Amino acid sequence: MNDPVLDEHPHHQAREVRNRARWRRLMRVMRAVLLGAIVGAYTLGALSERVIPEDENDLLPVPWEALIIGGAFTLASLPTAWSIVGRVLIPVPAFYIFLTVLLGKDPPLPFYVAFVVAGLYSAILTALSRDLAERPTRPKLGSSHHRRAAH
Amino acid sequence: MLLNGSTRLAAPWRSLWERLKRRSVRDNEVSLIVASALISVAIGLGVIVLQVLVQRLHEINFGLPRYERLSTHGAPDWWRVLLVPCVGGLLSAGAVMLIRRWRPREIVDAIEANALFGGKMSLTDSINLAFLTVIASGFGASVGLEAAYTQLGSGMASRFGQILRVRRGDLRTLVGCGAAAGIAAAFNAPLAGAFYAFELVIGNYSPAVLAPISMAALTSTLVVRALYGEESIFALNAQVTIHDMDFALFALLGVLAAIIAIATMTGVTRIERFLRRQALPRWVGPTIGGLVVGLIATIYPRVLGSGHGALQLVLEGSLPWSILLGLIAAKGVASAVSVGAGFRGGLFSSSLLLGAVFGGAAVVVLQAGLTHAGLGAIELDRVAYMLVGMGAVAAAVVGAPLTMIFLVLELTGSFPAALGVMVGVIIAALVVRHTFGYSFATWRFHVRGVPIRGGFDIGWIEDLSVGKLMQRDAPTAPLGVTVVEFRKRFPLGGTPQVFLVDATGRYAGIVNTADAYNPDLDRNPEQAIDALGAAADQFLLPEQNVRTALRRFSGVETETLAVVSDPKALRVVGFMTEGDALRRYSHELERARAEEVGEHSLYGPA
Repeated sequence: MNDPVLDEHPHHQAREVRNRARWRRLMRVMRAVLLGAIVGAYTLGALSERVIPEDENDLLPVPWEALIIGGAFTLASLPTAWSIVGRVLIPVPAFYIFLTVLLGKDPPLPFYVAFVVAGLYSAILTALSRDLAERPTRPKLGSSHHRRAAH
Repeated sequence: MLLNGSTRLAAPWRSLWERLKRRSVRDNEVSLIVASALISVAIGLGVIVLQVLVQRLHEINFGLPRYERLSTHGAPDWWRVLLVPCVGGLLSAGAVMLIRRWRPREIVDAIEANALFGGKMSLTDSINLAFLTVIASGFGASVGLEAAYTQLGSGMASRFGQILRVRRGDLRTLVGCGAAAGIAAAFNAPLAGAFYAFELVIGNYSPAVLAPISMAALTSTLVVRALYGEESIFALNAQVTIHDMDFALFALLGVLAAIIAIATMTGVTRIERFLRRQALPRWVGPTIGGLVVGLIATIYPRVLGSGHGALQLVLEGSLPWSILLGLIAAKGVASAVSVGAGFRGGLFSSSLLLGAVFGGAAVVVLQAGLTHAGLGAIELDRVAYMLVGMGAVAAAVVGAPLTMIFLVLELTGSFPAALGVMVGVIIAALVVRHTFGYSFATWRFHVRGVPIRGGFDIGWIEDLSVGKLMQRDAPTAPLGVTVVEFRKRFPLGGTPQVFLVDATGRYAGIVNTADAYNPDLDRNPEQAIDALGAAADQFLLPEQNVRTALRRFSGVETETLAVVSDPKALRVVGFMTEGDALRRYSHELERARAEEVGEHSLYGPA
């Protein structure tokens, strides 16, 4: 029996299935973008909570830092193989950013507590993006992987 | 004692009490109003008790000065912030496990009770839920107490109504009175309380329910004002100024508020699913939820608790734009995590804060946009936008647009502000209705698989089961009976249909009696009647409701169906005709409609 996806003239239902799959992928991308925006907003607000000047001597302007963390989270949450690039970018910057927040807010957290909490923030963001980026084990319909698997 | 212990009264007194109950309450609208006022006094007191309990818990758990609100206090000790929500999660999970062992069923809330159970609620379950909400809020989870107020209020009112043995429609009204009294007392806003009941709990507005619900909302508000003061969730001194152009921007705000509301509501379900996927022990979920709330609160302590204190800070304009933006994300995540992880409580208060913060952040962006477009001379009113954001997000989450408009009107006393809020609220409600289709309450029902979309009474359809409507004297004949024998047993003009059963008593089809008298059969009168049997695989079950039965009649295109005990045994227990079902269905529809508008003789004498 012909594979409806591999068939040159696929059955009309195959097109519908592919459209649905495309819609699902679009929704997952939108979700990643929305969550990236939430992480960015959260980081921006957190950085603005700092009141101790020594903790505000950042390398980049505050909005840029928030944008980078939010962008990295979006990238890391995309359901693609290369989302790992985003996940590489999250842990260390996120750790440092939240460490400065926790040490720079009023009143500051003790260093060891701030260290642990910043580590948790960094770990949660990384793990969450990993979970969001999880893809189905079966190859995408119509993709080269799918064709190879079908043959 | 008189009410609860009527069985303890001596026989003559008991009889008098029963007569009084029946005459004075069941058939008298004024008595229902008096009953709603009486129970609202108790509900007002209940709301005060809950508020005091949670405040005391906040003071003890977070080391707050006396009477200071949790989300106003900028910096509780870091160890309390991290530890207390976690302990709260553990306590909450333990309490839920204990309660489940004792009462394993799902707690029925006011909306579900009115939609499916004719207003019947368990007071014990309601007290349990209020207790769980107090633990959640008292230990800093990002949930409000409104769920506890409405549950306790409607649970008390329902119990009172059941003691008085009021009619189904009146019991539903009393449940609405309870919810109205709870919300009115909590917000010091009787109109908002009344409309909360109309929109969510009763499902419609009619003159018949206006008086008892308004009376309940007013009475509980007066009780709280007399005993606890006139303090509202926020105090606003600023004058709100709105230009014509603002209304267009409010509409835009409404659209964005709807997106925030949908993200928060679906976020709760996603977190629930995520935790369920991990297959963790039950007590771990709320504990992890408490830990996450604690982690968020190390940076944003204003997310702790219901957020009424933070709402005041936001409206005073004491927070910069960037923190407001961060607070939208923090409060949204903290609320979704709290509810999704298993803390009991609602999103009413959270959505108010979330919306106010969103409005505050949006007005800065919009003002910057106007300046950039060369319209810097137009100054947007910060407070107006906060109020619109607050109303719009809360209306979208709670699913009660009019309630939010009246809440803003009552809390601010500003008519222009209420007009602005109306625009944002309507647009937000419209967008949510057309894109998502649920409020938070109905979304939770949908996720649980409960088929209700509000407090509209659909329970009567479930009550109208085939088992209640069927005729039990189903005439049966065994398979293999001859035409002659059949004619002897079932003369023409007697039973219109006969149900065939096999040797084991299983249903095997329907025979129209008239068909057995077809002259063509006279050529071979000793033949078996089996060939005339029809619809052998079509039957009804006693537990099916009248709508399912009518659908089956229409699908099978027959006028009579057998009712069998169950699909395996197929024992004929009765039969039902389409005419009977239609007659009863239309009669019940008329009754429900008449009850809805409060006119028992709407369609003339019964």
